[in-house]
Amino acid sequence: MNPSNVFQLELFYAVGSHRRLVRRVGLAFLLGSPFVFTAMPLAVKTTGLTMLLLFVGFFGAAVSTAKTRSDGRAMQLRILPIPRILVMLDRAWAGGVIDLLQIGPLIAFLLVVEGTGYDPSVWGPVFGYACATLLLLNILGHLLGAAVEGNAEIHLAGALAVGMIAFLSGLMPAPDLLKPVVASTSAWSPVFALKAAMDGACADASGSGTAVLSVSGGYLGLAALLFPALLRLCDLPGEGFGRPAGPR
Amino acid sequence: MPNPTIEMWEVSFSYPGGKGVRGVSITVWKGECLGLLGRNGSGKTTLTHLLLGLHELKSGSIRVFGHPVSNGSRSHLGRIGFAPDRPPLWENLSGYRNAYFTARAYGCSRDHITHALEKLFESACMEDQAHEPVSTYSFGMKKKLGLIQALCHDPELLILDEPTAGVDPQFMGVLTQVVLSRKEKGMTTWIASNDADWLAGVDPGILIMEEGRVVGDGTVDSLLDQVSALEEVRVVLDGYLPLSPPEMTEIRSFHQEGNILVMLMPPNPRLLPEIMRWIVSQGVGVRSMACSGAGLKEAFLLRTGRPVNG
Repeated sequence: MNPSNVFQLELFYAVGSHRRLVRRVGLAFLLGSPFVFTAMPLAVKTTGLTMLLLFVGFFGAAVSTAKTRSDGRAMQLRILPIPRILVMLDRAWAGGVIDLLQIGPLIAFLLVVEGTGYDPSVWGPVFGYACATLLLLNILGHLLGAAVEGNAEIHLAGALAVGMIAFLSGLMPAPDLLKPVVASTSAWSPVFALKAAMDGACADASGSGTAVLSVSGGYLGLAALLFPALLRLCDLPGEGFGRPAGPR
Repeated sequence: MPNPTIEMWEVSFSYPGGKGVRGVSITVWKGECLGLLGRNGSGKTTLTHLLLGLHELKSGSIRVFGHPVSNGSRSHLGRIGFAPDRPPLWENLSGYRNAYFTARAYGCSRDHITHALEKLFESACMEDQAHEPVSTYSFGMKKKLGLIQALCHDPELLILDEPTAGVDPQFMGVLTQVVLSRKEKGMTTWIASNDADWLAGVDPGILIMEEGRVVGDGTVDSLLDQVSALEEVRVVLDGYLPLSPPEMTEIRSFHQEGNILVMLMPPNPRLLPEIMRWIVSQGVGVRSMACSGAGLKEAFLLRTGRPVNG
């Protein structure tokens, strides 16, 4: 199969080198496995995994955009007759799918280790929020990568932005003065929703809490990443969508 | 009257360091082949990037196929093929996959791509490497792939940036064929290059660029006429010593780069010993001296006072 759109190109680029793919998935697993397999409070486990997802999704997208710009591939994409918004969305969808390959197994292991067993009504929303979070983080990461001029600055800006998102999503303790602010921002944050979904699913399984799962919200997140990804993998919509009519 | 493919009016752009292009106006008609000839840093690539909308104009305007470039319109990009100086590629994908993606982005059908890429890889003598990862390619092979990507959709406007830099003579022949065949078919080609010898061979209309400005223009023949009565004298000095031009009225152009002197003058055997004596009188020896007929390079030297790729 040959790449027909930016989504396929990015996906092939990421999985084209097996060594690179194993390294990416392996590194994420190595960093995330303590939060799954070691004995620590559930809140710490879910916070750790959510932070890892933040770094992989947001930081990864920002650095990848900066690298694409520095090696000239961004220029190559700019001179093609593809709408820039479609280039960004394709890259975000592809980035989201690749990140899910890295983080998805860890979330699945957490749910298994914490004893939820396979229950679609629990796993669906948890993975839905993971998809929504990864998609959003990829979009934000690409925007940051495009906005920051120097490649060196991307690391500083990326780390600050990850810290900011984590704080506003309620992953870190907030001082009393800022608690109302964090409460209102985290209510809108899919990052918080993902952590709450994991907390809820695991706590429910151990019988120590109640699930905080919005099933419809979770499935919406699942659809936001996987449905377009499936369409783009099949190169749909076809001719005329995002490219001119060229030689037949 | 044919339509203009490219119209540039008083185009200016500068990088933070100050370099860029200043007040350039160019019209390229449909079917025309235009060669921008200039030294490295003279503004050729910047002007080419402005044409593609890769930089924001400081002032002036550019229209390609009648579309203003600065308003973010992308529809005309489908009619352009661009082969950059260093083609940016997805290194762990094969050359074929890179080219396939580009052709699909230009809207080519799968049938067209199969036939076009087979032909293009064959003409570039890369059919055996087409399915190898780009990371295993040499610089010259990447340049060839860049050209394949630029040609895969048979563009109405082909833009080549330093097409001959780092490629083998066989591929230079392919490039020449491509440009000449496009001229025959009445398709527009824009070439930015400092390879005066190759440009002279494809015989485009020439614009001479220096320090961000167009300082001369004409056909290859008209520029050669200006230097037909001159020859280039190249002197390699024994050591480096900065020299001022000698007071000899016959010397039409004098340029020094390191220990090399380049002069343009009418062919006159009497002058050479005189120059030799003058150099020795300045306190430096002569390692070698060579005379050659004047071509496009010398026309550039005459116009700008500096060699094009010296």
